[in-house]
Amino acid sequence: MSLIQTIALSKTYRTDEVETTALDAVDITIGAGEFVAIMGPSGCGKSTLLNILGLLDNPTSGQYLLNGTDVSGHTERQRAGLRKQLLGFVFQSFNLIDELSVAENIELPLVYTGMKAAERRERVNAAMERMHIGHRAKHFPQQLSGGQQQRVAVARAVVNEPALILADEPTGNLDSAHGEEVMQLLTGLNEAGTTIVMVTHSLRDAGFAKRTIQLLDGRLAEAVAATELL
Amino acid sequence: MLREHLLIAWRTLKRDPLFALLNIGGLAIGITACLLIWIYVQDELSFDAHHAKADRIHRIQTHYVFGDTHDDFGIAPFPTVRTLVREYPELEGGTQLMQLGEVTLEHEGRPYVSEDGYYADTAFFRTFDFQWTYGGPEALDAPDDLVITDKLAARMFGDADPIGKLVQRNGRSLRVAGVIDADAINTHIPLGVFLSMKGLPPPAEESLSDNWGNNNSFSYLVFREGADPVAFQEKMDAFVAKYVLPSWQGMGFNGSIRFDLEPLKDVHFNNTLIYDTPKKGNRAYVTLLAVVAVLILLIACINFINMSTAGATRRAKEVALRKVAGARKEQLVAQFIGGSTLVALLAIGVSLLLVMLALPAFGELSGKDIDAGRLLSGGFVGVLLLVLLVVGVLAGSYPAFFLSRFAPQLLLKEGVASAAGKQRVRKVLMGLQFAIALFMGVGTLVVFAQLHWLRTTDMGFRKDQLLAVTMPQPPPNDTLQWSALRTVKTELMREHFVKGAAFTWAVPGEGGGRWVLRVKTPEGKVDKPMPVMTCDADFPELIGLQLVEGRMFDPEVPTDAQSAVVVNESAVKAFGWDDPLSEALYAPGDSVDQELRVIGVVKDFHYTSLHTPIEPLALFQSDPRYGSGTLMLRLEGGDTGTQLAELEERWAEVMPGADWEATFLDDSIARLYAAEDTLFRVFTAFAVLTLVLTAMGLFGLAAFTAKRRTREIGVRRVLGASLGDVVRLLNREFLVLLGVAALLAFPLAAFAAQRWLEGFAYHTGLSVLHFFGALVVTLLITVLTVSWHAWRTVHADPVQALRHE
Repeated sequence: MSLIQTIALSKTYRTDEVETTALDAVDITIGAGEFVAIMGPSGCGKSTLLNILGLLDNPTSGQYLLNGTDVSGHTERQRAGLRKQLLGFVFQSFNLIDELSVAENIELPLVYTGMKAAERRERVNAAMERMHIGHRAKHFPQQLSGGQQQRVAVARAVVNEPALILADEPTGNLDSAHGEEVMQLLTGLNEAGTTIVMVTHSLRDAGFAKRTIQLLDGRLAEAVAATELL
Repeated sequence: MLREHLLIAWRTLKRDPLFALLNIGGLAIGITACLLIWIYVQDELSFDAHHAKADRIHRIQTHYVFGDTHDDFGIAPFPTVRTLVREYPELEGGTQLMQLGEVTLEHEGRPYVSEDGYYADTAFFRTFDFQWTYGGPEALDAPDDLVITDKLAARMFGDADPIGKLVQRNGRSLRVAGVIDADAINTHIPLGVFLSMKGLPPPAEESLSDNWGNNNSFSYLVFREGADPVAFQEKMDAFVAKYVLPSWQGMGFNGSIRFDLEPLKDVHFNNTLIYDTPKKGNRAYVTLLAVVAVLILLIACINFINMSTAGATRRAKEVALRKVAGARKEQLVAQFIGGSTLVALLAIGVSLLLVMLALPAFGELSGKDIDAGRLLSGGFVGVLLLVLLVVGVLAGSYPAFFLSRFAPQLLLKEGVASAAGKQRVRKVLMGLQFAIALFMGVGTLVVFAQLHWLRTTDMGFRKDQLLAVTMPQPPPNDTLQWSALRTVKTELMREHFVKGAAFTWAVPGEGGGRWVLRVKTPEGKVDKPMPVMTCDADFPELIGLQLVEGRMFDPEVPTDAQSAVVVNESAVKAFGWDDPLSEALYAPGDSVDQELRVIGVVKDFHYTSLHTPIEPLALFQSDPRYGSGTLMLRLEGGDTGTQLAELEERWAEVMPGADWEATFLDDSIARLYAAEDTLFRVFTAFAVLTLVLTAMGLFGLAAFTAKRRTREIGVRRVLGASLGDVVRLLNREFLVLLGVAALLAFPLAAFAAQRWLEGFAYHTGLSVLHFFGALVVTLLITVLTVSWHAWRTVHADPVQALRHE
């Protein structure tokens, strides 16, 4: 059974004057344990697709099956519950909370699971060790380099042992050396069994993935090519 | 989780000290103002509330109606209380107090004057609870017992135990049996010297006990538990008919009399009666201050809400991340309410410090002696908790709900948008702040205008350089001493700077006595209670009364002293006299009324404060006893210090042993408006606070607006905009808000101000300047604050501005 399956997934944004179709009948399937890159030019709908796959938003039409369950009509409360259980996120601009220390940032996904403090501490320590960031546990994000911040973000993404990690341009704000480091981390996680879906502009980063999905104007690139051919 | 929420709230404050200062500082100032007003209001409401039987004690008011005139007294006839208690079982008891006015006690040859002396019955200290330094409620049980205040005891006896000490009054020995703490409680009764009513000479007691026509006692009834004073009120008319009216019928009385019951705790706020206790509160002012407290707290909360939501962009990422991590909306709301509660707690802590520091100054401003012990009362703690609830939870809930709604999509780069949300709510709140500031500004200017008008308006007589010297009051039958007082006038006039002198019973501007006189009408003689002034023949000219018709008193005309009266224009108009000099007033007599011929008419003048309308007034030239309460001296302008010293010296020669008490009429008249003066000072202080809080809120909001429009301003600058263009751009939205706020606030302010002014018998009018002044001040503050931020933004690096997101 696929971990992720979308069927004719569409997303339209409407204002008083303008209607924008960000996604147009997208069909994708991603199996458990895959490392998939989603590529395409700016405005092609990559982030919209990632929003929906990451249960941050609902489609306007079509279906989204996550682990065989149709989650396309879920309420925010239901989506939040699933996010806690199944998903981890890595963002381009790290998105660490400046008022929390490294350890506290990593602990954040566990805070809302009802887990006891002692067990949370244990998991956080394990995640920090895995990402080699334990020596900075009490530091704050503004005291870290870009690479270190992204390692913290990755640690936060894996601390609740998610089935799926969604990464949005994870190396976009890093130099090549640190970027390479982060991609190696993601590859390591994938080899350990975590499914990774990554949005990227970088062909080099896409090279780490086993499969690439191309989007263009809200549709799969093959669908666009086929349409144009017609 | 709570610990984490508080930790992050604390770290958020530390990260942005300016935001923290504006937020906590603004809240602290608002809470401080509220707490000070609460202390003031509680103090006012505490008058007589501490007595154990307070809820069952009622005072008796006496109301006389004569045709279209009525007199309302705070006193009742002497036999009222004892007769009521005897007749009605629903009364547990009662007590009465007869005012003696100023009392002089002698101890070891030295005189000690107390302004407030009374005869009190033995039930007085058993009905009203006071704090005893020595003795107790039984302290007036013996005829020669005396109760004094701790302050007087300290003056007379120092640290020695005063109990049992003997003092003299008018040749009679009295024994100190009790000492009460004058400052321990608030009561409508000015505390002074209390003589036991048991010590009244028997003939006096007998005469008073049967006298229903003379009101001389503050009279209080104590109802039994469960008795209904409202139902009892209905029995009072029958009581009046049985006991009071018969004593008036022999005098040809044709009016009506009514006894009304007044709850004890209302007495302090009742300013409508004559012959009442002084130092009254004003319930309208107490209510007004309470409203001001709410408005100030509202402004502080608006600042807090506006600054919390304006700075939301900084928290948007955090909110979105927490949602991504699985936080539910209610968990986020709880987090932010926890944060706002922490801010409220910090603000309360700061405000408690500010209250402690401000209490002495506030006491001076409000004319109250408030001690810090009030802060430890249960009520005060309750108020703090209420403030915490209002600010932390209620005011904090809007930002909490606002912040918690940020969608997690904001985190992905294409979704990063302004998290500032709609400006509408912030604009409405800012507009409300402006409206409150304008309302307070107009109110302050109107109060100032009325106060200034009261102090400077022409009262119809010359009050400049007029000194009022209080004359001693010899025993009533000591004609020699009374005669000796006349020489004082002659002696003090020897000073070259004394340009005129006259005796009068009451000080002009402060009112005089009231008599019931009779006026002839086509239907017969009608009783008319009216104010009267008794004075010597020099008095009208000394104070510059303007004669309209006839003449003033002439000492060469012997009948002027016995049977002449001068009236004012209002009397002529009220009585419908075409030829007043052929008319007369009549003093009711046992068998025959005494005729008082009208010899002159003076222009209306304000014989009492401008709170009271001018009524028909009668002036008498009476015998020295009734016209010698005060010696008025007209002084030449110059070195008043030296003049007063020389007068005091001459006084000591002429009146050895008598206290020298002299006040300039300007000062004593100004004191009539003490309540308005206090209101003005307090209102101004809080109006300034309102403006400060509004400015703080404006500062924060303008900072946010400038930051939000940084890129826009950068683009405009690149395209050639000047500083002036940017200043106008940023000010525009605030000035529009101010304009709308003015349209809302001014009609309300005009209505409220007009209502307040109409409470005075005489008042100034509302002027456009009051509104213009308030608008100009608020406008200046707005433009200065916003322009400063505009200036800062314009001088920032335009390249950085264009990169700003």
